[in-house]
Amino acid sequence: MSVLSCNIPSFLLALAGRQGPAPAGRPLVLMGEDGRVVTASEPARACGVAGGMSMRQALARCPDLVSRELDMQACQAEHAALLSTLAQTGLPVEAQDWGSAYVDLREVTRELPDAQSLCADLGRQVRHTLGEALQPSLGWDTGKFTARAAAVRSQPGRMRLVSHDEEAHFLSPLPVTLLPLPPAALQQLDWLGVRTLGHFAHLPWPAVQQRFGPPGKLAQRLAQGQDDRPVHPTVNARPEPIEVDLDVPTTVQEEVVGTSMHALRPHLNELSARLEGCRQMRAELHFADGTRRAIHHAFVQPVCAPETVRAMLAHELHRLTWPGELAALQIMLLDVGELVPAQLSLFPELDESLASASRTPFVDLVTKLAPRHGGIFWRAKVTDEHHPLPERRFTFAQAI
Amino acid sequence: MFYTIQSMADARQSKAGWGGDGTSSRGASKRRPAGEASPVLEKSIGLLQVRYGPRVIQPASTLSHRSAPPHVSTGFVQLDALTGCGGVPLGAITLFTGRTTSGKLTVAYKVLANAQRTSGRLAGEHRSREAPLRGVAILDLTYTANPDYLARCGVDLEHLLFARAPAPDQVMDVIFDLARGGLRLLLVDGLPDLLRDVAVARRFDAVLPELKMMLASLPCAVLFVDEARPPWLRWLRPESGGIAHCAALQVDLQREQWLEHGRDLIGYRAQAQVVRSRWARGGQMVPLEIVFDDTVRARETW
Repeated sequence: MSVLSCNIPSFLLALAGRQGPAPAGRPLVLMGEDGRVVTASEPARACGVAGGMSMRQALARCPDLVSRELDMQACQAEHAALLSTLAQTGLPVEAQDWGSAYVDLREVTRELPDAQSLCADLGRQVRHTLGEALQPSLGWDTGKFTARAAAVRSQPGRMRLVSHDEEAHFLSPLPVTLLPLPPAALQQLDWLGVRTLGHFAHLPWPAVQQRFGPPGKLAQRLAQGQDDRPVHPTVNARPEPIEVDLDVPTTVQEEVVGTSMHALRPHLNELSARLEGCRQMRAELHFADGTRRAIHHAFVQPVCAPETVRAMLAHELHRLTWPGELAALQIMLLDVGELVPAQLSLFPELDESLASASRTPFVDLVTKLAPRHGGIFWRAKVTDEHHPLPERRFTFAQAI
Repeated sequence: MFYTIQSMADARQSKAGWGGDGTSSRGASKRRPAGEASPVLEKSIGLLQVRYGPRVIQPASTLSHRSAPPHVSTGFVQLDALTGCGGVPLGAITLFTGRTTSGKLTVAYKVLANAQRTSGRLAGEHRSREAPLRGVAILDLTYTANPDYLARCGVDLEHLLFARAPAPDQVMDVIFDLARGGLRLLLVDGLPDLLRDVAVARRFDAVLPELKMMLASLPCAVLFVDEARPPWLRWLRPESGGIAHCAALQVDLQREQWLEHGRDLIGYRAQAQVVRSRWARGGQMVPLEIVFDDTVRARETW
């Protein structure tokens, strides 16, 4: 395998920045159609604003906040431009998160020196197409996950190539939140004290599978650098439609949703086990009188949770004007790709406290005493003073 | 003129019924003007000063009053007054005792907060005119220190260092090093856990006098928090009295009652007894009220 990961950091925010930066460097959030935060800038995240929050929740945490509507059409256009630029090479391209894609270089090169010049050419083409503000960071490896991790860890306009020998060494210190696991699983890992990929990779696999199921097993293989998932070409690909047959034509919305979910659930479970999700969903409705209607919905992030799909389907069917009884429908899951990691940097508050340790008056004292007594000196910080569990309101970090 | 040795000399004279020069003290006081020492007494003083130095015996009028040492307020005005030194003394060992939920740790955290807030020259501190702001530390032997509660008590976590000694043998070395490290106050929480091991308790008692002597030359207070054990346990295992003996100030706290507002608990009232103080008479008690309302604050009881 030889995979290139092309990743434009903070793609949505960079696009919003084209309309003009936030006034006086104030924290910025992008709001979706449902009135919830889609993504937040670094200063906003530092205040505790996260995706999925309502505007009121975000303002409570960051009163200085500036909000903008997410321009979905512009995002889709730029994302399509990125994919078409990569697809012009004739290589298989798999779309990922916004501004991110995999390119399969297996047919061209499998050696690092050759890949280096090829990746540089691709990066230059993307920069030429999308402009300096959206220039990507590139990562190359023999597996998709390591390539993506390398792209995430490199700066815009740079590339990081990881050879097969240094995979384990490269992945080991990275945060476990790079894995596309659901937030509940990441929270469990946090509670268990598993914070790096190296630590997670060395856990006993039966225990991982027992606790997290097949997605956990796959995630552990990714953490070990054993990623043998092929690149699925998604550009210009047309997936197989899922046929949903209704026994009797009906106008009852709940019945249609229930039957559709019965047909969709195995596909969604399959996506979930592969740590993947779909970004777009298209449904064609065939009514008994021969009328046809179409539903098209684009998710902001890849989705594989049945609850989310069910809510979206119910919402779209409710908005639609039904001309008669519904006889059948076809559903297509489009733009299937990896789930987005929950966050790309682990425990920023700890990093911040460690960075600020140099300003504290204890540095000299601890530096003097640590060689004699070891790492017994700690600093504490209250991170969430309103957390319902008292032991989750603060964190400890080594004093030096 | 009165000398510091005079009361002892007078006691001897009244016991023997004779003055220093062979006459009765009543007769001598009649013959000499008031305030004038007898020649025999002056000769004895001269002999003592020749033998032991001029400062061995001095007029009592030249002695200054015993001043309060540098100290940190506890946050409770009445308790400060009762200690005789205005709070927790620097350069000495202080001991807080009490049963669980008696409020000893809360009062200790309040002392920590006040130690941080006291910037510049401390009350009663004469050695340095502009003492720099120093941090405080907690030696957390129980691993149960709660930074959220500390912050609610007013402690600035930026100027607070936690030390967690992995082995009991290491604890005394850590205390010595931290006390020498320029801290304003060191709180040692969890003394019963440390003294559970007999060998460690014996070593602890042995080095306490050394710690006491070292602290006398440092502007640092060491505050131990000890758990009061029930009488039957004291009978089974006699507790070491080393810490109580070396402490310049010992305060015992007992929770008296919970404070309620409607059906909500808003705090509690505790009785603080100054068991031992180098600067005041022991045995006096004072009520303390601690109120919880997002922050933990002391409420004056009068």
